[in-house]
Amino acid sequence: MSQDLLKIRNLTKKFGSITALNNVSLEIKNNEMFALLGPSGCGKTTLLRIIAGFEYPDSGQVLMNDSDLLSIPTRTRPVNLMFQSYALFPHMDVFSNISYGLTNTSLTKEEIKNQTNEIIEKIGLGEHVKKKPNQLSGGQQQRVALARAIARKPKILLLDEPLSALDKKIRQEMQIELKRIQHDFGITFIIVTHDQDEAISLANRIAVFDKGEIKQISTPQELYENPTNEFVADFIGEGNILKATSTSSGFEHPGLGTVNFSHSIGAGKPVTVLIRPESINLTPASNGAGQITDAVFAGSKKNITVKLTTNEIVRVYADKSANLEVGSHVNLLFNPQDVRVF
Amino acid sequence: MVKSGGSKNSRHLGWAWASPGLIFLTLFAAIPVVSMLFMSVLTAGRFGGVTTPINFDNFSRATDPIFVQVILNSLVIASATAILSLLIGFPTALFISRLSRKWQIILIVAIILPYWTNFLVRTYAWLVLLNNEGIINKFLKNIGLIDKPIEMLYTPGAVIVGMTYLYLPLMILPIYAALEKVDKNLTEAAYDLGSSVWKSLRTISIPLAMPGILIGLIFVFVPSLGNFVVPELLGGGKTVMIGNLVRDQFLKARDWPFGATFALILTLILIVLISLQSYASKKANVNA
Repeated sequence: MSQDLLKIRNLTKKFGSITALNNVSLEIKNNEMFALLGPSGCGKTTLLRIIAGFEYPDSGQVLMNDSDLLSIPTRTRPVNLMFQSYALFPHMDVFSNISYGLTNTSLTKEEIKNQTNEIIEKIGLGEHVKKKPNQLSGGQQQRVALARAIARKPKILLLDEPLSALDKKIRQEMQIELKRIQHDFGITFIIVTHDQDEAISLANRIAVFDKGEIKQISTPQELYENPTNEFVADFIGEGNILKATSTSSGFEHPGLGTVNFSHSIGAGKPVTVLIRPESINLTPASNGAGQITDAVFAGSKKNITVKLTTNEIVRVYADKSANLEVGSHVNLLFNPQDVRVF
Repeated sequence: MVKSGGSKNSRHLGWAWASPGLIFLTLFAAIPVVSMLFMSVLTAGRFGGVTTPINFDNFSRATDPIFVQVILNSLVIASATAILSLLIGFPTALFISRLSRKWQIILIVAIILPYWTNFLVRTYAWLVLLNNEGIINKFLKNIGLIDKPIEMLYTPGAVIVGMTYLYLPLMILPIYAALEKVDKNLTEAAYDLGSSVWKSLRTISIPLAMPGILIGLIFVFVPSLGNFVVPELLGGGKTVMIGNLVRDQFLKARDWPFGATFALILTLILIVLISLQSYASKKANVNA
């Protein structure tokens, strides 16, 4: 048996003329926090619904511990889903909601009661057992949804946009809480989200989706530092994306001039260049490559906007004490190692 | 919007808004009921109408076992109609609520359309279907299932089927309205948590549609209980319901006070049932 809990092989799913998933393959490890990240309509939710059993792919395989998952009916799959809307049963109290999944097992009433109480205690819902969902706050509702989804001890818990409905303070609380619960219960989490902050702060690894295809699978840090294509570079973090032409030893940009690398990517091709705002240093120069059009104080740093002679806009994070005035001309300095070219 | 307990002006405005409804209800509900009440304690005139003296004989006459039997019959037939409508209407409403928006509208219109046709015409259609030489009997005979026709027409069963057909839209629409509001994710959550289709119906869809089910039951039961045309046409006069009694006392026996007594009894039964429904519905809403 391999270390991979879930293997997805060449999954394709079409809805009419729309291709929701196009030949998607990925592996998810045991006990991993894995995020499917992408803009809305990129296919991540379709993949989630296929794993949960609400959709069936046109072609491809989903294997759990090397055996076919798709042939197992939804109701007996060792997979549970926490819905984005929570989908709590409005006519049942917290206890009945959480124990609902256990009533569909061969457990006795006594066992159901004990297991439910155990979960209620671990998730910290003790004082709310008798309340109906509409008597709970958003954060509490999410805890109930989470408790209900892990009550059947699934191998995989699917979370659909788990933090999107919460306000900022509760989001941070819940982030920590989700990690704790994932650790305590030893369940593999698959998180679907369109919010890169949510994915980066929660997941060990992230698969970035666009238009039904996986653009890159990697750790959050790798995605930020070494994106392999323009989509990921643009989607993850703040970045300046510039169009340039490759040279035998680097690239040439009409506004920034020639930049040399140690390695060559072949001369004369149109390329895309990514430079992160924190990688650029600005030095005043009357005949500089750009002019500062905006400078905003943002606490620990200054957000500077520079307009290049090519009219392209470059964002730069500068030191808050830097003497950079709107209207002044500057040169842009950066280490070629911090630049990514595709 | 007019809030209760608002300023004096807005409270006056509230009465103004309500007045068309109040005038209508006074004219066509309150006055008839009160006049029935008066009529039931008067004495029948020789050629219809009412005269003095005032007495309560009609109420003791109404407790005659023959009449009590008719009232019980009516309750049984109206209940059977409501239950049959529910058994057909719930699955239909559930099916419609799961379709795409476009098909939901098409089917809802298709259900309402026949309701705009004259109900006598639609009831006569059942005569053609159910009689001994009718389509159903002919079909069964042709495929060799029966030798001689089954007596379907002029039975309580025919009355129940006919009224179910008439009032089915009144069952489907409120249940559909209730189911349509239920978040589709709830059924998916139930499957995800291991429920069978039947269990998800029993524990999720039916409880959440309960207010609609209760309204549907009342909507079908009320007109069924007072109906006298369908028992006449499809019951062939052999199935007498309380509606027939009221009509016969007024139009045939010319005993208006006795007819008024039955009308009053009918109204009382309905008041009790509607109160029960609204109580049960409130309870169902609190749970939801």
